[in-house]
Amino acid sequence: MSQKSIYDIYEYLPKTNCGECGMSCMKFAGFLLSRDVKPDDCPPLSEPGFEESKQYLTEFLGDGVKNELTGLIVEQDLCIGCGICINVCPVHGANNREVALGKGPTCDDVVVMQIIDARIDLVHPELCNRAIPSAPPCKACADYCPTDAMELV
Amino acid sequence: METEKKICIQNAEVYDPAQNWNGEHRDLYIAEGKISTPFDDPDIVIDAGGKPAMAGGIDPYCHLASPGQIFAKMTTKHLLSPDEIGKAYARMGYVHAHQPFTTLLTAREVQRSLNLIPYIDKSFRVSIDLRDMGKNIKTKKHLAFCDEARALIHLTGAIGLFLTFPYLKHKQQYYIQKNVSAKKAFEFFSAIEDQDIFPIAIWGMPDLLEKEIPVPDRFLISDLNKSLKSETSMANAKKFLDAGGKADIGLNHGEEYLSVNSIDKYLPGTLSIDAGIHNPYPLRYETIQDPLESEESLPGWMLMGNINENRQIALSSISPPSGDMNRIPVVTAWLMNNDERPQSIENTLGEKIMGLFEIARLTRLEPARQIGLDDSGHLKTGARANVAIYDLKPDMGFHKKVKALSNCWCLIKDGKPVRENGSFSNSIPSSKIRYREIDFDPSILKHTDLLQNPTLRLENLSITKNQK
Amino acid sequence: MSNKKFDRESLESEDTAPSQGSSLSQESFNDFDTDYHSRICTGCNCLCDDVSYYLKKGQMVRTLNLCEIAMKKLRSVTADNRLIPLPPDILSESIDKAAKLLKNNGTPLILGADALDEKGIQTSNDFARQLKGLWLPWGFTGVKRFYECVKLYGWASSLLDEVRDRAETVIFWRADPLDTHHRHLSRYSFFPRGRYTELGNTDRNLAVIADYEAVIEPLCQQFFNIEPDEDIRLIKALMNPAMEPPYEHRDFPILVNSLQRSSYIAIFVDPENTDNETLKTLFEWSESINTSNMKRMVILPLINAGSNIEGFTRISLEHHATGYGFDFSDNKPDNKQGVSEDVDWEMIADKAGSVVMFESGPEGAHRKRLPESLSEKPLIIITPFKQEPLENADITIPVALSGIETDGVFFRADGMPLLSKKIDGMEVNEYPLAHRVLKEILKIY
Repeated sequence: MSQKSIYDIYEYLPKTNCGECGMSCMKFAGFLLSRDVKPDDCPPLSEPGFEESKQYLTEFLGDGVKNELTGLIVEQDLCIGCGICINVCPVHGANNREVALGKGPTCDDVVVMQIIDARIDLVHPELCNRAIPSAPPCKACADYCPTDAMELV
Repeated sequence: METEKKICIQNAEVYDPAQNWNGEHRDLYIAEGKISTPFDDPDIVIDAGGKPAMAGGIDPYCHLASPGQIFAKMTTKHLLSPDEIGKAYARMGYVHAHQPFTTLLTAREVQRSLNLIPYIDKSFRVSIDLRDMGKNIKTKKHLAFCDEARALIHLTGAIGLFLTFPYLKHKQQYYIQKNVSAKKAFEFFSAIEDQDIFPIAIWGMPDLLEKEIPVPDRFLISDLNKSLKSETSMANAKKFLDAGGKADIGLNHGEEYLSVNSIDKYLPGTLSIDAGIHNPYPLRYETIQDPLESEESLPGWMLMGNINENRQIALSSISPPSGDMNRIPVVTAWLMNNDERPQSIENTLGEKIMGLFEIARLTRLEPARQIGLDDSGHLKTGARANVAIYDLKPDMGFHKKVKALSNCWCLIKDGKPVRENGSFSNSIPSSKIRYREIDFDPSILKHTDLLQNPTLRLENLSITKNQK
Repeated sequence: MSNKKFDRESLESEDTAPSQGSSLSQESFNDFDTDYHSRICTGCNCLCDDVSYYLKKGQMVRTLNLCEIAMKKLRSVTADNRLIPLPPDILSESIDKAAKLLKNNGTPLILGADALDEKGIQTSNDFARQLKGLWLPWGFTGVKRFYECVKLYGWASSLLDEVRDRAETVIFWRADPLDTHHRHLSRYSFFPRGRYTELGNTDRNLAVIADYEAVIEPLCQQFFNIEPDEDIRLIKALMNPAMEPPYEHRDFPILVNSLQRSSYIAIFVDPENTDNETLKTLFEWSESINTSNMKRMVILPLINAGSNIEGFTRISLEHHATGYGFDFSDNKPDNKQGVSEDVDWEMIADKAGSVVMFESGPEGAHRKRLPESLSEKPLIIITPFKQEPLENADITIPVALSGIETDGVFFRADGMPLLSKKIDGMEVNEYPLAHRVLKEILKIY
């Protein structure tokens, strides 16, 4: 539910604008947030004195891999398999009556995401509204995730 | 004794309205669990000694296992256990009791509870709620309705349909425009051509008979007494019955009983469960000071006083199993005797006295027909061998008649002796839930709201019919 | 015999590694030889029936629609280090020892049959009866508290489908489904679309009362972070918003407004976390709403206990007219039936001479609610979940997990009995069935 902000990240960067990463610290914070770079890509962060910051940023950003089509990052370790995101997804609501009524998708359903082994997984990200450039940006799944396992960047 | 044993009941005074046997002295033959043609080599001979015999009794309305009823055990000590229910019926010479309703969602719960009751066969109807049918009714999609009805009966293992309320008033504010009037509902049912889904049972409601019911022969009013609230309703009830409508009527009221109210009224101390029918299903333990003076029971007696053979009425206990079904012999004895009738009954029933032929019709033939048990309620060759013999004499006074009717001398169920010489035998008979075989189109399962709405997938909702 | 291994790593091969597109597409998954669908999960009493299992050579390789609670149970029985089945002679010896232990230690406490299937519960009842013991579920105190209120006030209840279809205000009173029943909100109580709540959660209002940071807190519209001793004041204020002095809380007026606009209100309460007086006041509130006949308020228990707590309740009612077990022992106070009203775990611990315990999950969470004094009693634990014998257990008997390794009937929270079928290929015949173990002990006893 709570979205990470660029300022949460910037707080822990060296804030020297040394340019070794090729950009300013604020810009780097933005790319960290969008998972286009990693904390390791900031050389000063690997220097003594910044161990705690680097560790914090690594944990804060988590292991989730960004899906490029949708910008969705799922932090699987935080997911409890509650299925709320599947329920609130407007694509499911419009196209799959059973899912809208609260049942989990079947193996034959073509859905954006599914609970696989108690974790949410994107199975058809191309169906997500966010994959449609002209569609208004949808944040339903991340907005309603109670454990912050879903993040949109 | 095994079902395979061949039994001959000799010298019985047989009452079987289906064959117009009004106390004929006959022998009855039983083989392979069914009434048979005569044979020479019986394994068991029962000398009835002139005692009256009839088919095993059938109670067409008893809340054996209504959804959530089990919780009433916490609020009243009068709720009988499954064992006690089965034995109580068997003691009275009954072989079948009918649970008025279940729903698609609660069918499994009800089936499980019914399976716990020994000695008797059971059946139930499945409720159709006009919330689900409302769309079909408004758009006059008769075929769609029939498809859904058939699927419902098949999936739940019901023996027929039960229409909880013949009108629909959506409670939620935004849905009020979707109300369906009773008039519209009945018009809809009148236009249906699929005879297999009829008769549909309707819960007796206070305002049900304020207007005439169209196509009466398609309906069965359950607990008719509750609809007899005015002179208009009494007159309409008679018209309904005269035109081929069916009804069961309960004349039982004990001093203290578990009240099952179908009206939309919540009183303190009520257990009420939203079981998927339009209104919550309320149970409340009530003490009735003088049941015979209560308004509820008297109209029913009045109607019984005007009954004739053409009217398809069955006597029911309308019982939560709080002991009311044990009053069936008392009610029966009042119908047969006028020496101990309470004044209120005497005032309404008048001088009418019923014989065993009429009693057999009320408690055997008509209930079997209403439930849809073609092989029960009568003693024709090929019928299930369910025979009750009572140690009953015509000149017995009221109390002795009650005693005789409460403790049948002999009961045979499916060709197996259950009671002999007024006591239970060692063996417990098989006990089934009777289902109805009905064709339906499986393809509708995928595209009908009624069957897609439940939170469970259909394959987990439908019950296993392991008994026939 | 082999323990099944659940191998998460095997799923993350190169072909399915998450990169640009789908991660673990169901369509691309064909690395299995048998699959089962619309299976019933017995992780909690939500009894989700939309679970799919995929097996390859007898090992579970994928599941669909299982939540974390169920997954933990599944992992524990498929774990390599699950307690192995006792060889027949050792099992025999253990059963023998168990019978002797029970015989020599006074009144046994038969605890936790709400973790078993229907057959197990029935057998445990007979077992307790024959041994003249105490027969109690994990959820004993909460269930007792709840049903004592039912006796006093009656009860307005509903099926979960009706909550989904009709509830416009949903309140979780000291209950957190995201802690104990993960899919409850998405399947029944808040998010799904219903007959009269066609827009799902946007047609509903969710309020939570808790004295800690509940997992559900980010989702609710009103959150009352109050101490338990403030509950009654809140309930009375909700019953009578105009009372003086007014109830001061920023979410109070919004909840009042929601309640006024709602025609159907559902309260899920965890009676383990709610005291008697609060529960009674909730029931009084429900009664006052329902007798007005303008609205309906249903109260439903959300009990964190064995997954078959509803089955236990029903079977207990069938046999004993109480929903919370029975005291078969001879030394009941005042020779009363059932369990006396004021009995609690401490008193039970005093009375019990030994304990037969049916474990309800791998983490033994429910054991934490037991008093210390019970842990000193001779203990027999019957469990499918353990990786190590419990330190203080005298006898541990590993059994099959009902609903996965054997068929078992479980009851959903609203009373629906559902058959959870075994997964063919998963059964390990060497694990005995819990109810058979009890019968064997009884034979020797």
